Amino acid sequence: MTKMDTDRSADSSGDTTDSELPSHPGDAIRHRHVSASANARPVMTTDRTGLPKYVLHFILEGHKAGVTNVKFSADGKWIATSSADKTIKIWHADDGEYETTIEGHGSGINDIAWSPDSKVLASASDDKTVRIWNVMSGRILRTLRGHTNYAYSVDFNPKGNLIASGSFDESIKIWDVKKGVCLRTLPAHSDPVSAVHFTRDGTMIVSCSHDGQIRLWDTSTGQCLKTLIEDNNSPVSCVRFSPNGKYLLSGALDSAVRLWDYLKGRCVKTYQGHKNEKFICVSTFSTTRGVWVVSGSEDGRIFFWDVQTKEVVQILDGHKDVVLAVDAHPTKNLLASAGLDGFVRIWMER
Amino acid sequence: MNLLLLDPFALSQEYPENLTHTLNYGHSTCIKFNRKGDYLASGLIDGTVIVFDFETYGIARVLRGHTRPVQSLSWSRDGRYLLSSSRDWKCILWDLKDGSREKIVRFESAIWGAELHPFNHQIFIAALLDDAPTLVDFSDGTIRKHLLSSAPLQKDDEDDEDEEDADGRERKQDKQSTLVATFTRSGQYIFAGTSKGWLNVIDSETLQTVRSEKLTTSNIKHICFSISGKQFLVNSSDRTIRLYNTPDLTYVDPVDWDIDIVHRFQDVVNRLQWNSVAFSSNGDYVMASTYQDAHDIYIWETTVGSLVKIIEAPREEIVDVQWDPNRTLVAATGLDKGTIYVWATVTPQRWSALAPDFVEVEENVEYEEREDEFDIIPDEIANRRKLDQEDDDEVDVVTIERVRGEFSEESFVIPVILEEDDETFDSTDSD
Repeated sequence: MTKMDTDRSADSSGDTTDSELPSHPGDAIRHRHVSASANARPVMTTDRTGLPKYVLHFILEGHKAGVTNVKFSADGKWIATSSADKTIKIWHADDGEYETTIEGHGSGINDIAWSPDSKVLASASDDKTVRIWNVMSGRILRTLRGHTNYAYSVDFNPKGNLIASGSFDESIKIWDVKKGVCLRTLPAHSDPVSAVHFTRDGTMIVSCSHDGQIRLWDTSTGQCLKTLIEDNNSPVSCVRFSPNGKYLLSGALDSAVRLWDYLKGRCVKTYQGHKNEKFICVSTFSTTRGVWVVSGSEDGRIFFWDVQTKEVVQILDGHKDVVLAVDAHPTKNLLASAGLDGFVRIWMER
Repeated sequence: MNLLLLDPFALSQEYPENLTHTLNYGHSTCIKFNRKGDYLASGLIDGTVIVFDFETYGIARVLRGHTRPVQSLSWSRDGRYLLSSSRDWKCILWDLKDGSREKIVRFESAIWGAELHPFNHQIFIAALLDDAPTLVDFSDGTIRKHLLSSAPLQKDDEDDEDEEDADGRERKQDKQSTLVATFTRSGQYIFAGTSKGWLNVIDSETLQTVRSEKLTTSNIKHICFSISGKQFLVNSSDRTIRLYNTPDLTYVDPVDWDIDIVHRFQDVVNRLQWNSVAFSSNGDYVMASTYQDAHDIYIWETTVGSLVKIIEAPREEIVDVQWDPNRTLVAATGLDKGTIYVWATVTPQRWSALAPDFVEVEENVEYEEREDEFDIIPDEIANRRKLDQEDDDEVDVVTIERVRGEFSEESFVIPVILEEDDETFDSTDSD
């Protein structure tokens, strides 16, 4: 089982969302038609400067099952992809050439994270472990055991000495990378933890869960600092800090990506138009030229929103199935997307 | 970045209360935090230097090169280089990037201590047992040692006195040696303390003594500046710690410096000697470890000079104490076993953080129900309302803002090495 497995998402969202969700598909589709036809289409045809103009650059082919996540390395040289086929593949970011496959996990892999020096990769898998790999040799460096259910999300802190992992066992664990031991277990949520992310200075961790909550944690004490709740209690599938650490970007299964001012504890922007009801579609910021919010959609498309106006500014078509993850290159105008169809697409600004 | 969300009451705790960690990695003789306070260097009795990562309380680096106990440690400003001095008459400058020895400097005598220039890691000052204090400069590749004087500066009017008398005094004063030497915050001057209780201020450019002041009659064991550099402490063997205001070193002529004593800290009842002294991170407190049986760390407050806290150390006498430069955290080494003890504040979880509508109240509050609180509103309208509530203000998700109180300087991060064969030390964290 991997994160794109529909059964699990349905299971985890539980009974509460069954009653919630039916009212939303209609909304989402309506929104999609409205914004896609009224806003996005004209934008795409006219050549307005300043708007994103991404086109397909190349396709990375090789995974035998759905690709759950895609990440550019911090130095921008590599792309790592994790898949339900139990492997991680490494590709060159500049020409899309295949480099190596990392194998070792006993089950599908849900999430990957690069270390800040771009030499080490951490992965979270359905075999309940988080593993740390030497990217070039493919050697396993540490196996972090302790989660009692699927490990679901993983992130390195900016110094590279800590790893946070979120799991289906509803906890977050903070690990000492060097010793390979668990330093702290946070009883974080009342449903599976779907994402964890460190701030740029490493002092806080944000987590989100299918219980509809987003929580901020102090890294050094392990205490909860703040809780944000989706009003309609829809499961939160992904969350990350903005590049400057002042805002949070979250994706929820009511087909909405939200930007939160966590100090004030309120949602300041809602980005809509895509479809996201069952799967974890990882959204991100693209800041290399213009500032966009990017998210995949369950209809196989990728949406770009203007951070300020909330308008859809570009839609990319290509994936045959759900787009599970997107990631922006740290410096170049490149975007990677991973899909349930097993393909990874790299898009480049024209 | 977490500061804005932390409990202000927790942040206002100014000195540590609880023993939180015990680090047993060899017998530690001296310790030093880097400027950010995320690494602690520990010198061992066998000459090894260990750098602890104070986020994980694990070992970040093991540095081998000395053969006798480590005497002192000093970090470079950016935290990449570490200078250690040892009883094997050597100083080693370590590059923490790969743990290599950047420079080894040998002396003809035992070393009391060595300190790096605050802005140039290729210059350091060493106080030596049987020799004059030495300024070592290897900025251009070759090691240049400049000997400095331990003799206090003679005042002009005194020179005019009876020559014989002056000679006699000078001969006497020549016998005194410099026990400690430390740079001022800017690195412009060196403050050196002698065995006769003199403070000599030496210009680090011209190497001339520009001012001397007799502070006490006995040995000066430590001179330590607060992080801001506004005050300094002098620990001497007359059982008194003296706190001074640092004069305006930049704009005032050395002759006109007012070296004002602010407080004298001592234990009048037990007449205790002090092993080591240090400032708190904000300079509001001064702490000292006690000599022999007491096993305590005393903490005084600097505005009125009152004793605010005595931390009792478990079982052994405390030698070296250090205050984390950015947190309320104190680390200290024991004499007998060389254990490193860490005291910090322990803050309870705030329950109001666990749900957005939780509020901590002092007393019962009558709840007033909103008019529409339990109205049933269709989802669609509720969603529309929510979207309307969002303001159209510009949000800036990219520009990095500095928060007051945050350590914002670039600090060197020691690379985490995972494939080396790890050091085998017994670790017992009393977490």
